Amino acid sequence: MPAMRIRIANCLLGLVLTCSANAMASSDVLFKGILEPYGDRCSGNILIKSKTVELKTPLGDCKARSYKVVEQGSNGEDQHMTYQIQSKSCGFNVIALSFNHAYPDYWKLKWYKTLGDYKNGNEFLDCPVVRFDK
Amino acid sequence: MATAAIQRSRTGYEAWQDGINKALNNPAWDAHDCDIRIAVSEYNQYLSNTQGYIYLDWKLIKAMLWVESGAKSKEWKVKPMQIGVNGDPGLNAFLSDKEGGELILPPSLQGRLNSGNAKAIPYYNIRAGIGYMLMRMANYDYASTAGTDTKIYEIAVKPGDSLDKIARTQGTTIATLKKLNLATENLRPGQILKYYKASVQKVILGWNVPTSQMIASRYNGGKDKRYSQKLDYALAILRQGKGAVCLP
Repeated sequence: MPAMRIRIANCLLGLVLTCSANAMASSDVLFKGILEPYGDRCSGNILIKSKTVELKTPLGDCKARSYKVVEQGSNGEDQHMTYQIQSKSCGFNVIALSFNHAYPDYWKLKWYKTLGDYKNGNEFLDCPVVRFDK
Repeated sequence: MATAAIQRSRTGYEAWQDGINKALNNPAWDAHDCDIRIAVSEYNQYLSNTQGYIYLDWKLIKAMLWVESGAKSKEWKVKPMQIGVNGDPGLNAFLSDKEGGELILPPSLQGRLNSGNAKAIPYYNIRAGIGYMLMRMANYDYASTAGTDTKIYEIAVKPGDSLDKIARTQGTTIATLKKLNLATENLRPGQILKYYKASVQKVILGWNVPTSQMIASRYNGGKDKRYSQKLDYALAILRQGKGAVCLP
């Protein structure tokens, strides 16, 4: 009987530790979304963590790259954040996410080849994204 | 001897300026004026109801034609706006129905303007060029829009299914699936999902002012480093002229 109690206690402890680990892992996620299929180039997933960004789309699979925050802010419900990817292998240098409360179904994801293109507002693609971490 | 030396040292841009200076009040350079005026008027009328639309000045388009080709170029009588030249993705983007062109093209051109005539006939090339430029000046957002069929459907998740796959096959959107169902992030086989028919619609949020820098960046794509400078110069010169007389 005591052995059974110890086993149950161990199980509960294991569950708590697993839950804590999951909570820690999910708290690291800043943005998680699925690209709504639209046209030939919009589909896939985006995952932004505190230190890395992952983006899987028909344009390519950009795995866990570190990034620098170029800009982020909010105005009421509206939000925007821009990240510069610290790698040249993804085929783009900057991504920007924005949310407009007037169109709440989607976040908008834009790609820029260079920081200069971002500053000039010259994106080469934008896609609708459904956010799943909130 | 000294003159010849000066002529030899003129840069490509200066030589281009010389050509533009001579274009003023030269009827050949005004040949597309009436067509440009009508085309710009068509776009202005159609887009005037969109939020924040900035009326386009037909002379800005004329200046673009002068920069893009010009009456001395053989392209002047084929593709004066140069949209649709080899290697240019602009025309396909404009006609793709997914990048905003479908919101820009006036009804009078829908079903008439196509890749073939835009590459061969100035009338269509000018309209495609204006449309593409406007498409690149607009700011967009997206909305998930319910279809005319308002029935709520149900589908059981199968092994290997994803929201993406279900949305595509069932004629709905991921946004709709998320809205109507709890716990859609991690699907499990047998889970029942509700949905209605829906599609993604691109909507015009507003407009950027078509400055020479914006046009250089978004129409020319930064290929010609002097594009905005040329555009400003051509516009300043052609504003001094009368242009062609067009029927009202």
